[in-house]
Amino acid sequence: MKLKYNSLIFFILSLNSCIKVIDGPIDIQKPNFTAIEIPLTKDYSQKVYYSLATKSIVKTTNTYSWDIAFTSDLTRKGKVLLNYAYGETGGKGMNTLNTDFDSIYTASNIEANALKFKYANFYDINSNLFDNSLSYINNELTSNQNVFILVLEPGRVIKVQILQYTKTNVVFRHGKIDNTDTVTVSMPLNPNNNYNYYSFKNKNIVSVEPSSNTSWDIEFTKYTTLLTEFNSTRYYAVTGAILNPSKSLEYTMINNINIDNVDIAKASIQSYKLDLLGIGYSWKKFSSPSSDGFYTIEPRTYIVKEGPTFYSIQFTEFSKLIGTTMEKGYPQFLQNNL
Amino acid sequence: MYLKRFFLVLNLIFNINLISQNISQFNIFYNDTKDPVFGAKVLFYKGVKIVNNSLSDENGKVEFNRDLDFEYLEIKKSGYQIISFSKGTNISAIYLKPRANEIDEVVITGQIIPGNKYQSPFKLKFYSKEEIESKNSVNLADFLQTENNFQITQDAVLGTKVSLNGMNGQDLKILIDGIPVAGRLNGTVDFSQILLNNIERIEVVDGPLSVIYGTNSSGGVINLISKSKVKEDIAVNANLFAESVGQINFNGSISTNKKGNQIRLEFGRNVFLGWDQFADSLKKTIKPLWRDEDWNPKEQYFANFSFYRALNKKSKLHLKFNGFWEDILNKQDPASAYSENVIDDQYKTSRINIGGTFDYKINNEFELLQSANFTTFIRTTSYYSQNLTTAKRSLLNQVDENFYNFFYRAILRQDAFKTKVKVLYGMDLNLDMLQAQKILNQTKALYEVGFFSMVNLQLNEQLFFQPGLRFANNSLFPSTLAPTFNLRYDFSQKASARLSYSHGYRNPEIKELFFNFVDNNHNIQGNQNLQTEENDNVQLGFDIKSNKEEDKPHSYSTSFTLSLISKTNAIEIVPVDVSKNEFQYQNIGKYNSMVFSLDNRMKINNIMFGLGGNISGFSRFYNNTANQISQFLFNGSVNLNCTYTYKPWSTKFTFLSKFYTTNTISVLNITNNRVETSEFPSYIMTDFNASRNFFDKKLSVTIGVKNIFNVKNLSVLGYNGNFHSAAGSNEVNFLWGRSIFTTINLNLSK
Repeated sequence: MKLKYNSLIFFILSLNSCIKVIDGPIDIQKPNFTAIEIPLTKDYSQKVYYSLATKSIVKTTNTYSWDIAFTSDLTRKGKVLLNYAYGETGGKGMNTLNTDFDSIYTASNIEANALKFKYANFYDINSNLFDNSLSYINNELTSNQNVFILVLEPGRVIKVQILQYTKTNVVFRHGKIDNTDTVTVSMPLNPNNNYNYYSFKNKNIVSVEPSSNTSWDIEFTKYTTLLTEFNSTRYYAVTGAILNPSKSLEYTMINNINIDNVDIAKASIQSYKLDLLGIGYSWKKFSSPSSDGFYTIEPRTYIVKEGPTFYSIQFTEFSKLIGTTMEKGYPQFLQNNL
Repeated sequence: MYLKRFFLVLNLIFNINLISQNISQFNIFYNDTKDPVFGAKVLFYKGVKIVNNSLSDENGKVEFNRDLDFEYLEIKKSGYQIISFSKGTNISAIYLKPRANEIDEVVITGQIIPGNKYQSPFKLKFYSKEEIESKNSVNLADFLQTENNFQITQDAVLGTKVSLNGMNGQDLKILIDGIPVAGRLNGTVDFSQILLNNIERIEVVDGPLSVIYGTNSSGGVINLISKSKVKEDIAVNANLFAESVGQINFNGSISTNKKGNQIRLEFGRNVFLGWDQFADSLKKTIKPLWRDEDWNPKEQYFANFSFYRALNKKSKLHLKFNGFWEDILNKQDPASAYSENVIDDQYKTSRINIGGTFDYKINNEFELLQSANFTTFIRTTSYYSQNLTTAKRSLLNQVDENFYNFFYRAILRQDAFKTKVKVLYGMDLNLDMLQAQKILNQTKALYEVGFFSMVNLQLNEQLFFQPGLRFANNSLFPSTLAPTFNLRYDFSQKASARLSYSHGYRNPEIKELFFNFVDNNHNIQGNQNLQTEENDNVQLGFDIKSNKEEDKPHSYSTSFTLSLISKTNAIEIVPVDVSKNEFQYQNIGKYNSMVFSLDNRMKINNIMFGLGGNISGFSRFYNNTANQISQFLFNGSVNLNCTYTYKPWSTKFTFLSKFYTTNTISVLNITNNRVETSEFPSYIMTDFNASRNFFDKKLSVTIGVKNIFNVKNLSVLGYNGNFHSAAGSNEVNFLWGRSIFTTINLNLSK
């Protein structure tokens, strides 16, 4: 009897000690399409212009190298942009409705009018700060020369006044709100660029876009947009893909499908939309508030249509292991030209 | 044994001597150990009137005058059968047998002198070894799931939290043999880490007991009494528990009693393989690889050692070692179908307790109880990059949290039987130290010294008054006074009423002040400006029970309690930046609750029947908010427990069920600074099992089903300010649905 009990105890002990969670290895078969990595880098300090046709990066620029941008296309809404990478706390301003540039403003003036602040994003026409001060009549653009208080980023506040704005040139002046450090700038506008960029900090013109606005299709960048995902709607900095507004790019997305299951026949029967932010940021899902930068990627394939040509894209990662840290800011995707 | 017999003969000789002096005497012994019984009450009756009383001394001796005019006497000792005999009966030795009836229990938690729970001015609950075993609960959270007034919530990483009467885990003191369990995550003990293998019984004080137990006990005290006494020369126990959800537990123990040295050694391993509600369905079709699970796989080891010895008639020593190790793997999904690397997080916890108690009986009136304990609680969070194709992983980052606690308590208790006054004097010292990478200077420490006293005054045969006061000095917070006043009035032996007032407090813990807890699911910030939480509690109760002395096969008890609690400076974790999933501890305002609770228990032959319920109302007043929800929001629960023993089969059937009504709570939404509501839907938990003994109780087998109605997850309506999501209606991982389980228990002893 004793032997039986001892055997039972031994059996139970053995049974329990055998049980263990086994994790992998797993066979992951990646399709043989071009794998692209977009180096926005840590803190998204770079913006990247990408060409679908050539499957290559056309240009990489410092995200924060510029503060204001002017388009030479005077018919476009969103003629003047502020750097849209600062999120809720920057890239916004207020129309003082005052044309006297020498008026002095204080921090308390600004704080009292905080609710009047607007953003200046070209894709957010309802919130464009400058448009109401620029009248386009008889092929000419007229500025009412109102002075704007701009919060470029927390702690960096200036005032600016657009004096003259033509298709080829813009004249404006800017200075600190206490009316010091004022500068008047005459900036030529390159029609081959969507926008022409200027840095208030360095008081110089900055080259941001590739030399030709038809050489690229997607701008990967950090940008500010109105988010409704929180309990209250708010402007928030996201990171994603913006389609080139100068090209007639349409897009669609098919959920729960991998890129190797999307062929020309499937792409041809989809309905496409003209939406610069159609791809946007929502292909990834924030998964971790910690510094390991972990995001999950939505199981979907995007198709971008340019005339008769279809490009399929499936994002695979947003983070990259660098040393012992998983750094976010490295979108990776597979691309197939159908 | 020879020594006892010697004393017995000596007593008999002495007895003759006393008789010659017109004094009679007899001695009282415990039937099982044959030790003399100290403090047994002897009541001398003439008709129904008590004409005199006495108390057995440390040798169990009772003396009385032969000329005393009485008809019969009764010998009473809590937890033991009452013995009575008529005047003139020639008897010199009385042997007390323990009561088998479960409705009348001896409790020690919060008591000046251990006694019947119905003699206490506090609302006490008692769970016997049989009740614990009949539920087949692995841990304390499982056990409390179907108990009245308790509410259980789950977190995949922080573990299982329990609230009692709406008071959260931060307000509950968990004790093991009277020693506080140290090592809290997010302010609360993980109840799933409190394993019940080694637990003999559970005592719950359903109300504030800050006067004795200090901070963290303003909501109640749960005291787990471990198995330490060993009767057999040697006993071996092995236990296997397997549940279909993927849980396999094993534990074994060996205990011995040689020459009064009672030693118990126990070890065990619990394995949980992980569970996900969609593991076999939708997720797998969408994503080729689904690793993330609602319930993370978990592995627990534990080892317990206990040494108990009565050094002499006056002193007892109990030494303990408890080791607990837990490993939780939080597997993540790959970012996409073609990702080869994932970042997994792993949580390793170890909790080591070394401590003991030393009880010394100074004389018939005074007893000194001392306990000391040292705890190390180490939690390591590691982030690994795992290559899925090779199954190799490399460490990316590691966050350590080392918590050390030293606790000492000395209690001097006085039982002045002649004046019917019982007094408890005590002091305790609690030292906490936390070392972690993410607190200021990486190390923080605090201490609290408390001095307390409680007096039990029997004002007359029916009215008891028990005031108490605690003075506590904390190194980081102002000194605190915690008074309590308790009244109990016995209408009869069957019915009594309780009225109590207590002022409780909870000092913020080191983590709440200084800690930043950041991982894949949480971002919790400390707050150095936190103030001490204080609360006032008024409790009114009525107890009715059957008369024990009648020793009938039927017995019952009914307990009704109304608790009113008002808490100020309530500390809660609130979202401060939803976009970053960032939460912070804050004094959110005032918190009121009222709880009506009814517990009924009945025993009819082989059936134990329990029916209870409560209606709880809560209101919260948040500081500086745009609105308030001032009215009480009510919820309730009904629990039904039944145990039936079918003797022809030697089989016991246990049915446990608890129904929770819809639960609406108010929550502060920091993002819009408004108070909003979250609503948890109603649900029911029902378990059933049958157990049978074989081979003269050497082997017992239990099979059963848990969560019969297959409740898996609950959708929270309204604002959900928890750590995992920001808004709207979402599902909360709550229960893993129906499962079947079996327990095989082997007991060998000689």
